[in-house]
Amino acid sequence: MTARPTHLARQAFWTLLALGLLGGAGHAATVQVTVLARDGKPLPDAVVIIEPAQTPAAATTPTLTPVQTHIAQQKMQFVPALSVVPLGSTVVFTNLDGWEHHVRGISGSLAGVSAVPSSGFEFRLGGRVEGRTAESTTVTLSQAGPLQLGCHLHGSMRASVYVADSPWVVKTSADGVALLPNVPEGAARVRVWHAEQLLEATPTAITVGPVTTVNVPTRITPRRRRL
Amino acid sequence: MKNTMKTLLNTLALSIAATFALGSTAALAQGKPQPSNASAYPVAPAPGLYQAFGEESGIRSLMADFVLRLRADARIGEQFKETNLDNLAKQLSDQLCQLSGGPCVYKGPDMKTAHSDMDVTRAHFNSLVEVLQQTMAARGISFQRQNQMLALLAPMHRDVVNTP
Amino acid sequence: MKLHRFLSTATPRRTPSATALLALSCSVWLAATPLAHADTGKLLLTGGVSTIEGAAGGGLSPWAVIGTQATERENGVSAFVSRAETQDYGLTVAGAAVAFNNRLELSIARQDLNTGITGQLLGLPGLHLRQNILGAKLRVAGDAVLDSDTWMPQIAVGIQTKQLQSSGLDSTLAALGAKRSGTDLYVSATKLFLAQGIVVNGTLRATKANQNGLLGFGATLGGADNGYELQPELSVAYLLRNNLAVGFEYRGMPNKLQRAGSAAGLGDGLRSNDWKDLFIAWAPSKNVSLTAAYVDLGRIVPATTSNKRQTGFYVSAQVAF
Repeated sequence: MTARPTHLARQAFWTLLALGLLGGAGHAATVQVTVLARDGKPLPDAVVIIEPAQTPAAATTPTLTPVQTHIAQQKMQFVPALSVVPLGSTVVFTNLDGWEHHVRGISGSLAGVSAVPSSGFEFRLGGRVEGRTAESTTVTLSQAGPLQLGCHLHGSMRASVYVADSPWVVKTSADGVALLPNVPEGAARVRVWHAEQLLEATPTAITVGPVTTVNVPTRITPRRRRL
Repeated sequence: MKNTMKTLLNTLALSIAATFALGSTAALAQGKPQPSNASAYPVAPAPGLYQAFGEESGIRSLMADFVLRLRADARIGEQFKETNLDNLAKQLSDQLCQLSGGPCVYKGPDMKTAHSDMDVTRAHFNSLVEVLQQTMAARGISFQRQNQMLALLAPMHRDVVNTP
Repeated sequence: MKLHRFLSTATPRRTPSATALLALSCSVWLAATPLAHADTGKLLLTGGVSTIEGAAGGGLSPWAVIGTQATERENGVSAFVSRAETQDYGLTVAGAAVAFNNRLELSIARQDLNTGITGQLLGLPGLHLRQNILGAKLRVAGDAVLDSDTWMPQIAVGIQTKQLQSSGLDSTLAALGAKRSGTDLYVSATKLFLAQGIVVNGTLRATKANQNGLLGFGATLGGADNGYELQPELSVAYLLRNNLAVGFEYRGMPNKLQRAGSAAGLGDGLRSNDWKDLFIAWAPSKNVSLTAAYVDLGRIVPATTSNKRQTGFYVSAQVAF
């Protein structure tokens, strides 16, 4: 009878050791976050930000390499509607529509509502002419946080870019799921940012373990689009 | 009595047929209009329509008035809350100028795309027609010419009304 | 609800429960869905006016348009009162209609014909012939107003069940083999030729009604053909302004009673003619329309009216939401 507990304990010891070796020195894990809209359905195009309570050592934190991404104006829409890029990245705006657009970008949350002037940019791109290359402009994103895009000519054209200054910023898929890799284990906060949400809700406190799944219900109602 | 009636009916039928023949001959002279972003259901404009509306400058002035009336309309004004009215007036002018036989080329979105971000019912469409009628009447455009312009725009309801 | 009360007094004796049920379900449906607002809905005059049978259309013919001011996604109501006077007769009609989603129209009308000299000469002085008409119309295809790029009209099918009330004329009608109830079936095609400002309607009606039903339905005396016959109807209106139209209507009438009358020894005394009118319709507001017309109803019981063609005026007022 005494043999069995010893056998189990030995098994547990080896499993934990294996996990410890696999997990690496900082015990980082993948966190799966599912964001739900007001009606309980999965919410795509939401930005999930995880802020660990203890920032791990620089050696173990994955570095943020700026990228070049593309945002097109097509059929009166910005495509894609949401981009998440590291700080310092560049965005190439290309106008694929046959008519001109006046693109405006304003950084900072509550853009337009805040009294403090936020940084931004504005440019005009002419309509695409058959046989010639489409007009485009490149912008470098040097301010972290959300960047709201709009068109001065077409009030309903809206999109966002979330400029990330940490590696733990991921947007949700069509299923409302964001997979954040290499999150240090331990206490952390989960924030959700969405273009249709005026004020961010209180972050969700979680404890990151070897396998962590989090459901974040929100009161957000996404905009419907016909085409 | 029956003969008078028959004659009356025949005259009526002939006059109706004549009106259409006149309309279609004019259309043939101009060539059948092709679908474009301006209208997916083109109608040949009545002769002299572009001139009757004051050509390009007349149409621009009319549309500048029209967009203000749209924004002020109690029924559909809300739909234009975020709209850049200057841009809308320019687009509408290009559209009407082209469709009525003018030299303009409308380069904006097709009607389906342009309305894809809003809910438009038949009642909204009818309200817009009424605002346009009021705008044209205020400019002293004759009822007949108003109808000829409306005839170019009416079939667009198939693309604009997206909430049946 | 006013409509319900109206219906209960006008119910044909045969199927009171069915009518009451219809009225009740209409009231419930109406109460549940939004009614057309006074300032929204159809463009002026595009709901037609009320015919003397209650359906929306011209004055004499039902058109393919669905009545009231309601457009798609709305429900509407309308009510009307009409009066026609010719040399020997006076006709008063009152009725109402409801419409759903610009697709289905249900109507009711009560006609009251003062027979004047005819009643007198038949030994029935002061005789009034009263008829109740229940109608239903369904739009099946097309758009009458906005499809200016095609010749395709709006098409609707309709049914009218008519019940002539019991009166001193019952025995005469029975002797002629005319029934006191009947059903008309029709298909209409209506189009507004927008660029020309002309409305055209064509209706094809299957009917047995004598003088619209006021003299019963069909006739068997003298071996007359008592079956359904197809009658054509045509309306043409010209828009002078967006709230003013002038036009012309023609409605073919069956002539079943002529032969029966002849067999009864009246010669051509019961002959009838087609109906026609010239009208003007004015909509001072979105919710009110007024119609005036000069009517020619042809001979109506020429035996007692000196073979005169019955001509005279017609006025009608309609409110619609």
